[in-house]
Amino acid sequence: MTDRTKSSSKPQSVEECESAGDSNEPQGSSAKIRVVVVLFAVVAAIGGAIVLMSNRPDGPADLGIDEKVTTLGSVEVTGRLIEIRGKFLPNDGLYNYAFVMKYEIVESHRGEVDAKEIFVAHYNPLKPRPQVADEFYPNIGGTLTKFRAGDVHRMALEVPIDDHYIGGIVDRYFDEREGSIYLAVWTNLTNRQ
Amino acid sequence: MFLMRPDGSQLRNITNTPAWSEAAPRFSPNGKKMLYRRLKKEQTISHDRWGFQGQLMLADADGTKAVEFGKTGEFTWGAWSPDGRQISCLSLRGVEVVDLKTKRVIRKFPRQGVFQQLFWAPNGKWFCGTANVGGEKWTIVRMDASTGKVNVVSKFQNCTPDWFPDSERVIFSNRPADQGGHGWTQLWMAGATGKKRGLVYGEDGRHIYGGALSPDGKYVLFTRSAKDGGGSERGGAPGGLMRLSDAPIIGGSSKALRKEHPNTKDGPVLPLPVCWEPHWTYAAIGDAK
Repeated sequence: MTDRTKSSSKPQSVEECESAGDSNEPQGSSAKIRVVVVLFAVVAAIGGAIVLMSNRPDGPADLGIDEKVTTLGSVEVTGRLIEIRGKFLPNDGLYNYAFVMKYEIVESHRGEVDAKEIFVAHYNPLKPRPQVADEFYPNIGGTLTKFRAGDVHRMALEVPIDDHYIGGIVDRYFDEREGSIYLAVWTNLTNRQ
Repeated sequence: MFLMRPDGSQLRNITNTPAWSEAAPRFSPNGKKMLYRRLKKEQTISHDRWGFQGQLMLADADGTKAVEFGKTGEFTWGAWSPDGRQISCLSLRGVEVVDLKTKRVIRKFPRQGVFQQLFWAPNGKWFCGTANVGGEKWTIVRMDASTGKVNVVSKFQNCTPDWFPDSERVIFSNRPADQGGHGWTQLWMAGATGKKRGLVYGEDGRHIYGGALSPDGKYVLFTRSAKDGGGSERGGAPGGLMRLSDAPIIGGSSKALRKEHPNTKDGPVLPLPVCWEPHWTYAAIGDAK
C-alpha cells in the first residue's frame, strides 16, 4: 500500500499499471487504481502542456500571423535568427541604419527564396518594431520588441534592399555573404521551434 | 535662411518665412541662384537626411523670387550642375540628372550604394557622396558622372563630403575609430582617388561638420558642434573659418588629438555665428559686397 501510494504520486507507464494489476489485489480495486492513474496522467499531461505554452511569448501556437505580415513586401518567410554579428550601433535619434542579420528559413510562405539561409537587414534594430516607423520609413514595423539569436520570426521582406531602402547599412557578412540582402518590412515574433 | 559676409558681418534673414523651416542652401555656380529645402515648421531637420525632407526650392541668391521646384519628397538631394542648367538628384530610383527648365530626367544611372549627400564636381566629371561600399558604412566615394563607376575616397564613419574648386580633392567629416567611446568628428580632406588624406581641423569636445571651401579654395568654412549631428536637430552650432594653408589645425587643448597629430599648427580660426550646413559664394549679393 505504501509502495502504491508512492507510485500513484507520479506518472506511470501502462506496463507499470498492468504490472500493478497482476498483483494479488482484488480485481475491482485494481480497476479503480488504473482509472486513477490514467486520470492522473491525463491531468499531468494537460498541466505540463499549459506550463510549457505559458512560457511561450504569446500563448499557444503563435505563428506571428497578422494582416501586415501576410500582405506587405514581396516575400514572406518564417525564419530562425541564427546570428547577430557584433553589437548594434546606438539608436540615439541621430544615426539611422539597417543592420544585417543571418536567418535560417523555417518555412517560406510567399514569394521566392532560393536559399536555406538568408541575410535580412532590420532598420534601427535597437528600437522595438512597434515603434520603429518614422517619417522616412513609415511602413516598417511588427510585433517583435527585441532581437535575440535563436528566436523565430515571421517576416514580410523586400528584395533587393537597394530598391527599397536608401541609408546606412551595417553588413558584417560582406566578405562571405552570397546573394541579396532582404529588407525586413514587418517582423513578428512567433513561438515556433 | 540667413546671409552673412565671410567674416560674419551683415547677418540678415533673407527668407523671412515664419511658417516654414528652411535648410541646406546651395548657391548656383554663378552665384545668382540658390537651391534649398523647405520643411514644415514643426518638422525636425535631419542632419544627414535633410535632402529627403520637404520641398526643393529655387530662389534668387538674395532669397527673393522663391518658387517651389517640386512637391514634398521630389527632387531629393537636388544639387547644381557646374553650368547651373541641370540638377542631380538621388533617390531609390538612382542618380537622376534633371533639366532645370523642363524638370525632365535627361540621364539616369544606378546609385552604386550612395545614399546621401551627392554633389557634383565643379568640372562636371564627378560626383561625391556618402555610400555603403564593401560592407563599410558611411564611406565617401567619388562617382564617374558618365559611367556611374565609383572609387573609395575615405572608409569608415564619414559624411558631408564636398568638392574643392579644383575637382581633385574632397573635404569631408570623419570620426576615426579608437578614440574611446563615441569619439569626436573631425574635418578631413583627401584626393578624390583616396590618396593624400589629411586632417584639416579637429577639436576634442567638438564635432566638426559642414566643411565647405571658399570659391578660391583658400579658406575653409565649418561648424563646431558640442553634440554630434551638426546641430540641425537643435539650435545649430558655432561656425568657424580658417585658412587652408594653416591646416591641419587642432582647436582647444585636445590632448589626445594632439598626440595623434603632433605636427599640427595653432592657426587662427575666425568664430562665426551659429549656423548649420553653410555654403559659400563669391558673388556680391544684394547690397553686400
